[in-house]
Amino acid sequence: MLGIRVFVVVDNTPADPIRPGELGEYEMIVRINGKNEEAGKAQTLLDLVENQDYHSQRVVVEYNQRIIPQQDWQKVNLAENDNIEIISFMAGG
Amino acid sequence: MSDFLEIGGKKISHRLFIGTGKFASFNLMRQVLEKTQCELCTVAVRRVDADQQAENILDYIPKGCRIMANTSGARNADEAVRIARLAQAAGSGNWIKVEIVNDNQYLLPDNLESLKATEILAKEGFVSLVYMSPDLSMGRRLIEAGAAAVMPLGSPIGTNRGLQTRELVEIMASQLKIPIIVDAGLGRPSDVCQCMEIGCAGVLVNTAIAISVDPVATAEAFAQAVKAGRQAYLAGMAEKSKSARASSPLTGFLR
Repeated sequence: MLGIRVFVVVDNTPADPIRPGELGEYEMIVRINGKNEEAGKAQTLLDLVENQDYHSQRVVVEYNQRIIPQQDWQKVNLAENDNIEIISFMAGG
Repeated sequence: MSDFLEIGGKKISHRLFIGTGKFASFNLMRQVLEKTQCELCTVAVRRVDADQQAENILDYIPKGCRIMANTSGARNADEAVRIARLAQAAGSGNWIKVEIVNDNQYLLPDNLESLKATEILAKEGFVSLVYMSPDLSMGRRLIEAGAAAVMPLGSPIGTNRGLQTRELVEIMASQLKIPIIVDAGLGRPSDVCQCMEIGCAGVLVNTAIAISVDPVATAEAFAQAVKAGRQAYLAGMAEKSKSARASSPLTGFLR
């Protein structure tokens, strides 16, 4: 009978954090309406709203808890883990 | 017509306010708002779903009907203030229905948090209409805090059970100097008529209209009941009596 030996290697050293560009296809992750999403090619808030196909005339954008007027969307450069809320009116009583 | 309601410096003559939730379509909602000549409707503020935004509710609200956002979803004063600011940025102006609920079963409002929110919003120039559990003292405090109107509930939201809080609302209507708009639970035209008869300034109805078989006809019935109740209140109704009082002469009997 063949003896099977199982070796378990315990590696306690923490994994290096993945750095931007390290994996070649790295994309920045931002939080949009409570969900983590890849920012894609978007660099500014304006890019993001347009890429996500929101009707930009009809939404309000809150960026890290601050309401950003539409004319300023292009001035806001996105950063990792930004928290973005895209808000509009819905039916309600 | 010289009988109008004044809130935040604006005059309103149609005292039936309509919530926009639960209609089968935006088109149907528009017909209801048009047919009743509604001057104030409510909307909610929510996260946009990128996949489901083909139509925008604002396109279906007739000109002449003011849009008032509510702060539904807020569980405390800070969340309500945040929603109010977002609504203002989204273009609904400075009117806000302060609605703070942290009871998921009965959806009853948190009066104390509503008071805190009203204080903050008044300083920021908002015209606050405050959804509340009917309470005279809290009504007075809300006025001090800068509320433009108070909105005591008739019965829990969406229940169509009518003016269960009549005694308390009637006391508020007789004592408070700002408009009392009964909100929530009004299910029948007779309910809104009662609200107006006891001196309330207006009513807000949503579910009872939106989920009826024919919302346009139902809304018209509610609008007529609001007018009837208001007219009766202004007319000064006769007092009630426990014993009978003959309406025919008590002399000249044929006997």
